[in-house]
Amino acid sequence: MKNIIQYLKCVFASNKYLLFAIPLIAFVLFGVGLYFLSSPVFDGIINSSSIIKSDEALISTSRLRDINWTVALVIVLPFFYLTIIPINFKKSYDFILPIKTSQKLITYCFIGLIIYLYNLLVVLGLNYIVELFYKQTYWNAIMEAFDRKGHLYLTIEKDSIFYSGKNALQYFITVGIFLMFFPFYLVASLYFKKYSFLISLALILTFMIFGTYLGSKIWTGNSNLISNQTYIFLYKWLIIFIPAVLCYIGFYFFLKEKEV
Amino acid sequence: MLSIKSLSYHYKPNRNILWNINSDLKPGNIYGLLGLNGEGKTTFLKLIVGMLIPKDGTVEYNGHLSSKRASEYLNDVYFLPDHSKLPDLGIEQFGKLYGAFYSKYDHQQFVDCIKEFNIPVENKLKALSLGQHRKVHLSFALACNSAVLLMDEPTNGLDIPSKAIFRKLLTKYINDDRIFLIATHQIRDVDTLFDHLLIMKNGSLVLDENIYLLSKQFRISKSPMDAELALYTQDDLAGPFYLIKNNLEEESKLDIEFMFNAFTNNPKPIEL
Repeated sequence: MKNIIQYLKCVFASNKYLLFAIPLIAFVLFGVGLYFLSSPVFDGIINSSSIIKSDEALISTSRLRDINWTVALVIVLPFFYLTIIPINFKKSYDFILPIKTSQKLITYCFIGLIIYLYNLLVVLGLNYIVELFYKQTYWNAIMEAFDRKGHLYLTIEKDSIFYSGKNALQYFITVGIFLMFFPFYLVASLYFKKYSFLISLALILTFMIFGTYLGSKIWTGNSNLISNQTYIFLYKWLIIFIPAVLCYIGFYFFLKEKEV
Repeated sequence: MLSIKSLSYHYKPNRNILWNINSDLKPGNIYGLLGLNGEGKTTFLKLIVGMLIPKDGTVEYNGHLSSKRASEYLNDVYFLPDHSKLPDLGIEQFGKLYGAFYSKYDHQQFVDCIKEFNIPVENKLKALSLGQHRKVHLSFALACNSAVLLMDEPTNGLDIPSKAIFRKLLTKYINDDRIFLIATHQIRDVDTLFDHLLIMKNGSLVLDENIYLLSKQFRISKSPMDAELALYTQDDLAGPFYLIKNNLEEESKLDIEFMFNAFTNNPKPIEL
């Protein structure tokens, strides 16, 4: 464990810029996304003073959906920062470090997880900031507008922008998806310096297509009729889980025998 | 002792870069590895440290094979490549972070070496020139105190005063437990340090001999009377020089560059 922590320190100490780059890039893309993908939400932030004066505008604001597209920022952005891992594959001072291959692999997984969770927390935080802004600015005004318009039973829906932060808590589920995608990225970046992200995407798609093909052979193509819950759960996850585990094992051996 | 047995390597099948190399490198010696460009010196060093895996044969130190890349082996064998580009850290921070992996790393020694090279230790690596990166990497390599230190063109990028400092540091830190193996083209930079000479030609070792023993076996003569006995003749501006058997029963003064030329250019192999 000591070596893993030390190696983590080495990698992050020489990439300190990530501490600022991750929140900055997430913030910029979050803003750009708000502007292009959720323009009414964006409008609600910059034109609050005019919206608050109109009951119709307030009621319309109460119906604004949350910004669930931000999950894309959570899943995609880390892969751009993860380029700090393959850079180390070819550096002699790193390659010849006296640590075991398994320790390196575990360290890479930690690096991936730390970056992923850091980016996720930033995006989650931004969602909470938007939620907080909307609650502070509009909540009471909307309730009063409901009263004035006689909407006695109207409430703000749970999937609205007013619950954006709480709803974004579900993004933590994507950590599992990331861990399944991660080994494909590692293998691709070990062998293909360029386009490793695209190649890893191609790898995972190939495995999924192959898995789906095999799945279609179960019950001669009528597996959808199987009602066993365990089967349904396993079928959904094993199709990617098994290739992911194989990919982790494969990466371990590739790394062990990698020549520089 | 670092033991190399039947070591062969190729990048493409049927095109051997190294072929059947055998040697035992003993502690307390500075080995000079010489060879023309493309003879496989870097490949040889990479095979020793385990960056490449032998196609045939073994490299063994202290019961560990290079091909296994065991952490114990890598703790004992350090490789300084022919170029140094270190991470974006402070000099001291680099030493502390990466030195923590090596059981015999001495941080004070690292700082002392850096000071010898006249680099302020508080500097960031990012702010250093390539030559200064080289000095930091050299200092780190020495401070790891690994039993085997492999250096590929260590004087690359060093200015003239730094080459003298480098020689001084090598003599300071070599001891009875350590092996230094230096691959270089810049023979004049380090030839006075060598205890043992390894010369590569066509992917094999054509010479693997202690310099003291070489100087007892051969001598270089300028006398025309020795022309007939010459094992090798080199025409120079000052006239021809001859490599002849040393029958004087005393140590002769050998020129490493001349010896290199003799063993690589002579059409007939020179018998030891």
